Amino acid sequence: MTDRERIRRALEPLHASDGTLEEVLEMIDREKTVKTMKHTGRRTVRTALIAAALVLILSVTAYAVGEHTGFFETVFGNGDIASWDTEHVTLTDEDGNVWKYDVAGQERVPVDPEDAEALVGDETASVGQSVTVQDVTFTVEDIVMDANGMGVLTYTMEDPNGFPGTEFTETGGMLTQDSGEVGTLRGATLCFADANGKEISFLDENTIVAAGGTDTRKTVAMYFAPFEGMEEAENLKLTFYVVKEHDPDATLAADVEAEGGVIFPLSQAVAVTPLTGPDGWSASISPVGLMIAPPEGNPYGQNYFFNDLAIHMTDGSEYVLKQAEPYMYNAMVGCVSEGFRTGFTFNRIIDPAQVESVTAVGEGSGYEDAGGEAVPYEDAWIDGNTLQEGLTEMHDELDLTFTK
Amino acid sequence: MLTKERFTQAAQKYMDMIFRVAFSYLKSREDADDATQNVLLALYKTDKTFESFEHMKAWLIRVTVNECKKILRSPWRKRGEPLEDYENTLRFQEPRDRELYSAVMALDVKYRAVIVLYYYEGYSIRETAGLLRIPPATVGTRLARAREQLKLTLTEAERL
Repeated sequence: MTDRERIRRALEPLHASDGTLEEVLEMIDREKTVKTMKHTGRRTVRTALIAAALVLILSVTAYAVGEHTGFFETVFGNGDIASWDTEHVTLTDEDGNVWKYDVAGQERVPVDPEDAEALVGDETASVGQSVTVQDVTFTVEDIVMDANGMGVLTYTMEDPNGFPGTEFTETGGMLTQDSGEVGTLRGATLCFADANGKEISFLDENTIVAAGGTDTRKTVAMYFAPFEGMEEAENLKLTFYVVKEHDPDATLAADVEAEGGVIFPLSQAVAVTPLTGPDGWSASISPVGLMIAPPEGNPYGQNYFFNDLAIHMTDGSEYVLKQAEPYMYNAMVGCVSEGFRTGFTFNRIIDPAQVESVTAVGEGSGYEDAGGEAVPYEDAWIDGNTLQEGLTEMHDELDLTFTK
Repeated sequence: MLTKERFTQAAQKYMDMIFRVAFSYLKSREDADDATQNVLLALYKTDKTFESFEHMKAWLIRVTVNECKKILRSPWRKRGEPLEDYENTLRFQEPRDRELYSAVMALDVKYRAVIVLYYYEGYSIRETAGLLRIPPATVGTRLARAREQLKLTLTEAERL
């Protein structure tokens, strides 16, 4: 028997606890967000204590605004970021199951730096915060974010040794690391927190920008959308956390090195333009993102989605954000946020003043009572665990138009 | 975003792997369960399209590693059942499997992580390096040191 076989046999008994998947599915069905998980209390206390610890060791840097032509071209392209078509994929897993699905195509539209400057130049901040970890120096350069927390920033990675052990390959006109993600390197993680150091959860997509990259210096565009903690935040702090080698039994915050931090005042965020939809639906749009909010008494919870989503401009053009056939996805990040709101960070910059309408076609599922009336999601479940008696599942086709 | 059906398929396929990676970092069933749930929620929430199962698996491992680091940097990690109590609930084929399991868990976390990815998940040294964001030479060194520390246990198992 080989070492690999022995170790496989020794670790084989490790399985996720019974009910793990069911609990996650229940959370998806019934709970608002991650913060409603069963250990909420513990996590809240824990986070607060981390915040207290970090405040003591963080230094704060001011930010500056100015001309950002290079930034806009870096994150939205000046013609060198390629579009790509939908790809039909058939995969067979090791159990013989065949999976067929489409990998979304994406259409990139080069930004006009002057237009971008006019739209969001004043709200774009130059940061210049650096941290060096194991010979790699990370520097946050510029950030633009709207009032909903949708946005993009750039950071550079410089390694005088040429990133030994890390290979970057080119896909779709961008450079990504072998495993498809950049995210962290050498243990450094870029985090968002509120001004008190309390971490805010964001989904992010990191892509290495081909233009201007060298063997020893890479620029990364990080597109992000929040999913927890943003609604209560007043300011954001960008912080590099560096996780050191751990003593597995250590319980002290000293395990963390928080290197610097820069406060991004949300008062400086790009303003959003409110849009009104039918039946209490609403939306808000900025040059860099779109957020759609279900109505009060939302019967769907998180269980609604849009197959086709388009922004229609007054000149007759449209920005197709999602399209079912052929499958296109022209956002950089999308996620369900607090209050079951769905947000998208754009892969281009638009002018909200030129937006005529937003159309969203999809479906939602929830529950209705014996009289056929939709029951608010929050009311359908008793104590968040038990479905009220007498309710039946219902499915709605959604065809929404949002206007100013 | 994955449909619920597709998400369920993917979760069933990968949740034990996620737990195993998380447990190798956290050495706590409760924390590893928390990490597994958070990673599965991230999978459900992401709008990312995966080009292959390997891509999805690598993404899940990266998210798991990040989640574990987030839990590890907390000063208030959960103090649940003693490791030995959990170990007693595991069903091993042979007594020597239990001994080897105990020996692996006695290693430092940096060795456990490479052991799980290299030996259990079957990643190469280079792939393991990419997943952990450390140089391949470091993976090689950690594997060699881990093997050295496990040598006695492995040798004993060989004799049985």
